[in-house]
Amino acid sequence: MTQSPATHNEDFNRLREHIRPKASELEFEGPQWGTTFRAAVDEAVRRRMPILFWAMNGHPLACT
Amino acid sequence: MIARRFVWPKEQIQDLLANFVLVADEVHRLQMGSDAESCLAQKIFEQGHFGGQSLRTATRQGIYAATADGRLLASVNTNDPERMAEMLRQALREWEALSEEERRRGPDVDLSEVRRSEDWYPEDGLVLRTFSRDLPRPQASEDWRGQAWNQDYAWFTREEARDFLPDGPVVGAKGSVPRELVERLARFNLVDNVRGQVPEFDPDDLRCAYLESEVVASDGTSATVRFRGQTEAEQEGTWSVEGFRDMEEPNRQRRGVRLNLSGQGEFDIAQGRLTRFEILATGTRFGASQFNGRHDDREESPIGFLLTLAGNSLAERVAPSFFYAYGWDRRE
Repeated sequence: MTQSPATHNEDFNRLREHIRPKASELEFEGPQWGTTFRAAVDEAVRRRMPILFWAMNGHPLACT
Repeated sequence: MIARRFVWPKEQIQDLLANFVLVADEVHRLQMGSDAESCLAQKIFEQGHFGGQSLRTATRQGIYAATADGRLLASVNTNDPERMAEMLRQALREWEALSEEERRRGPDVDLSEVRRSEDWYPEDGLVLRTFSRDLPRPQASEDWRGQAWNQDYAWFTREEARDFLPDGPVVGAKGSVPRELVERLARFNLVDNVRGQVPEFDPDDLRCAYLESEVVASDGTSATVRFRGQTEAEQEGTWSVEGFRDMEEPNRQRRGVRLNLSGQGEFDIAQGRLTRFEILATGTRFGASQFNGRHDDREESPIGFLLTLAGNSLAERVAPSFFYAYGWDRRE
């Protein structure tokens, strides 16, 4: 049986909101991570600051 | 993955982070590579918590505080916010103890020639952010696995992005997104990575991969396109499924994903760009791979993916996990 458009939209929205990460689940992105070690080294030299390097199998800001 | 939730959001950590140039990066390439960037990273790794380990399990994952010339200040591999905070404080004490000249030093390698996947970011193309998560089911895990989700990216050139729109964007126009582009999603993004990394599917693993498009509204400047499709991928072979525990005793395995795709996009006809895009891919997955945390959850169960436009933040310019298989970096 084919779903009505309204039912289809309700299901779509419900599933989308289930899958999409909640704001609390994306808080790790808040600290403004750079995404390449190469660029961080350049920035650390320029700003005379130490580097904090989060290294994971799979990019920590993507699929890890 | 756990650090995402339990470490960085903590207030005592956030305050300390302001003292550092922050970077997140993929460790395997840096750990194994021979380019200048990898060599500098390895210099740091080898002074850290996993330094010197040479077993096949010897990842260099973790959190490292270091100077720009590769001097380690402190390191740790933990999901405990207290231990992380202590490591950060230790690193700052070490930094304060350095001379001005030592803090000013740059690396003794030239990083300007290093090429990375991010150099091929399609500025004028289509960048999708894809999320994966288990769909509700009885007896879901009550620990972190029950809440697990993951993400990745998919890149398309400007020309490829146009292929998501049927020819002649008038209401009723229909088309099929080229198989090559659907395969990119099916092989690299529509994979069971909810709990951790998983290998891509091979082209031969795809039993079905299509995405049909239809213009359902158009005012001459923009067109609303509806998408419908399916993907089905299945792989058989011999591999381990419990991380490092069974890596010396792999067994015959099967893994697969079967999905129905549906969604809509808004296409700016003059610009040739998608300005809105949402596709849901829902269905089932089964089996396990070495690092995707499914060794005790191999029966078929529901899974869902959301494919949407990535934003413009720096974090959303990270290259797709399987970018190396795109072949873009080998083109003239």
